[in-house]
Amino acid sequence: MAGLLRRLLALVPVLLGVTLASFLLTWLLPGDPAVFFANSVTADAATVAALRAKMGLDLPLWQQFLAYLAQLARGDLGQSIQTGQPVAADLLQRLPASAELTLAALGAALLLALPLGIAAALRPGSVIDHACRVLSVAGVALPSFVTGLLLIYVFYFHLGLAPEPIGRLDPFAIPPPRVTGFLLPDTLLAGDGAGFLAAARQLVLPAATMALFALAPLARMTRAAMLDVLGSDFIRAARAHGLRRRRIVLSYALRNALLPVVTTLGMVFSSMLGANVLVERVFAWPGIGSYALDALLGLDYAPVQGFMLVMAGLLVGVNLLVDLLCAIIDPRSGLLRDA
Amino acid sequence: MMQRRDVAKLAAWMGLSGGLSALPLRRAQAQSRAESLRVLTEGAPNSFDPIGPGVNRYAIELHWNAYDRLLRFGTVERPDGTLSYDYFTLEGELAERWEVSEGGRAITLFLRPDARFHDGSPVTAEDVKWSLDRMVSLPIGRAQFATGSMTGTEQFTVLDARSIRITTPRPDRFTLPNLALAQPVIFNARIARAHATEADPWAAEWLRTNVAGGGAFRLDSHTPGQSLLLSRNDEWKSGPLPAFRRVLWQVVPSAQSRRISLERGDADLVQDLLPQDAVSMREEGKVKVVGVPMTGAFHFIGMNNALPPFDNVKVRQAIAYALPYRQMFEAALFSRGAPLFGGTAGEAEGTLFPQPLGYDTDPARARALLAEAGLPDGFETTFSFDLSLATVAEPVALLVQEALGKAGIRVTINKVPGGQLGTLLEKKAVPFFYESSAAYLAPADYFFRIFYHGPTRWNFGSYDNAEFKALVERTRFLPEGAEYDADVKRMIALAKQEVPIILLWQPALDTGMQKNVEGYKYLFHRMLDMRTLKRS
Repeated sequence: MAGLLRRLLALVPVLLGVTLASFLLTWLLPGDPAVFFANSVTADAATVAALRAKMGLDLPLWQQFLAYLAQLARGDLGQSIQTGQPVAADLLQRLPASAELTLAALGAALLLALPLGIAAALRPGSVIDHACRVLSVAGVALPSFVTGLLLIYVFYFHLGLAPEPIGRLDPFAIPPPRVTGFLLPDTLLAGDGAGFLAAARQLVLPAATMALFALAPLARMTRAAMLDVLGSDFIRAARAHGLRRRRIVLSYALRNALLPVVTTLGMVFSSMLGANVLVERVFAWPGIGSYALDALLGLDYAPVQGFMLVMAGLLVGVNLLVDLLCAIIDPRSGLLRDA
Repeated sequence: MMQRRDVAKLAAWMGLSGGLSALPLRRAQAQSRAESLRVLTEGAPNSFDPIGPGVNRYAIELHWNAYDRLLRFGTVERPDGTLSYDYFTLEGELAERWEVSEGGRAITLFLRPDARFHDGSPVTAEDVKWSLDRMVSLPIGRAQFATGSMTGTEQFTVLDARSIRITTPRPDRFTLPNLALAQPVIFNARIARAHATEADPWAAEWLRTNVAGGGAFRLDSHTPGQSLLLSRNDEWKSGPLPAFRRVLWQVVPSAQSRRISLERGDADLVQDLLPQDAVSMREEGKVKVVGVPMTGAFHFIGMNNALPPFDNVKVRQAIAYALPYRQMFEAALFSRGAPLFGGTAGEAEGTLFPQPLGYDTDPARARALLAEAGLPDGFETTFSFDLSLATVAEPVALLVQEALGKAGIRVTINKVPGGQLGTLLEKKAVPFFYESSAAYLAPADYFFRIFYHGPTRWNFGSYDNAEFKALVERTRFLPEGAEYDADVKRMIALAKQEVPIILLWQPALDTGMQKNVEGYKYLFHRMLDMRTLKRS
């Protein structure tokens, strides 16, 4: 437990560092927000100066940073100019949307990648191994907006099976009372079966698009790790002792092969959560990736800083979770060793 | 927030009940569907305050329809039958009439007696005064109103409950048109004042996220960045009652997704079509595509006239002759728009500007001019464009690079990350670049005053010619007439001969809609007027 506590304490300097880094990075960007936001053609130097003063950009850098820290201490991430909303409200609205999509996609990818990777490792060079390779290559090679548009074209435009690919709920549905911000649990908590189905239907295509992308690293990693483990001495020993094949593969080999898979899973999750801008765009999904990118392109720095802060916090959390999982899978390594 | 019943009603209206309303009657649905409009756009409004910092163009779409102004521009029919605003006629919106007196220095506006805000309270001259005062008291509003000689609150005087006088130091052609722009909306001052604070006397914080007006539509609900629901203000008196009772406006960032939704029949009207989509949708003919060249808007190639070699007029002309205009127009815009190349060279063709500059592709002449400029072997330069304009700017940049390369000018392309070109232009640090801009008021002298004059970044060429400068300043308060026309023609001739920036084209504003949606009207701000639309 001491290890766990140490890890949690280590969060403090990490987040402080991220705060400073995100502040300095946005300051280093060459664009001048006051100029950018004085975007009316009648704006002259006086207009720009007035805006700069209003946004506090005329203060010395250290004062701006102190003001930012004071603001953070109050739990205020600032105001987004691009959306006109407080950054904290925006992130609170969008993070669950991204997380729900990512978790659904990751779940689907995992359900497909694990059996596929295991089967491919058990019979290297077989048809299923090739199928695994083709699917992985296609998943990585096809940009996700192409896959997304293709799925929309087939399932919405032609077959009419999928709902209109716009957002998390169809525009006429009433959103459930917000408990978690995740629509699937929230609709269930509200006892709204139809709402659950509607939300799930909206989720299928974007999740499938993302799952295809996440499939490749997971399936390849499972296959490689399984191959490695299956060739090791203790598996040979288990075979020699005449243990059942099923037991060898699932209990001995898979458990040992899971370590790198779980580590990859953490990495894939983090990158999918914040960087799936294209899928979010194509499906008009109100996620945080496109939010942060729009803010960056629009020289709207408060959301960028807020996004970096929240993502850093999440990343640390995910890493912690991955380490914990690894410790459970293999007690010799990881966090709980000295527990 | 919306009530469950409202949603069900709306869903029934849209003919998309999906089990929400128990027994949807087909005929009732058909009737009410005719009264609802579903609009998809690329972006969402970031403010409901027309003069907040960084207010985006989607904000205009909201406040244009949710607020009234004192005046509005008239309507003309374009040759293809599309409606368009007419800068040269003004009509009353909240003002039923106006009088100009004191040799043009005083304008008295008389409000409609029956005009009411959304909360039912009458629109009074006090509300108008507060709203106009607010314009001149906040930086972005003041900069705009200054173009119409309105700079101080003392210029707006309440005469009685329904009339207000605007006085200007000199008669100014631009005072009245300024009142018809998108920005000077009339607020319900009683409500707005209640939300003002000492630090924020003009309620900027509150009006950013709230509507306090009396326009043709009310804002019923708003999910930031995702959707807005508007309903018709049945008590609206400032014009013919809009045909649509409800407008559901949703944000769909991907152009392909918007197009698919329109073609599948789920959306009624889709804004921000890409030029290539406009071309192919028009060919397929499943939906209606209306394309109007954006008056006042222009794409251009800028040259910093203060930096060598662009300080030499022969170099600028050489580049203007070297550009492959037609290829650029086809590659970048699929020829959707009005060309500003070709046309009469060296002299004005009428008094409207932008107009074609009189340059066309002529490589031999370009080389000759370069030799005359003392640069027979060309020179090296960088060509910058903002990545947010990449779909149009990238093909342009490549063609510029290729064509100028043949004339000996070695061009390095510099892609500036989104939003940062403005900062570089403000510092006058870019020699050669691609940009676009637009002016809301149509007269040529206004255009020149912004884009060919002064120290701001909007003088994209950093053009500084003593004669031109004198003409710009002289025409500022010159009334329309022969003298004004002669001065404008001289300025146009100079803009053509000295070519401080090379105008390329006015892009088309392409909007897709179902065939039964009619009454689309093109406006100077290029956003949707929901008030004139109807379903046939």
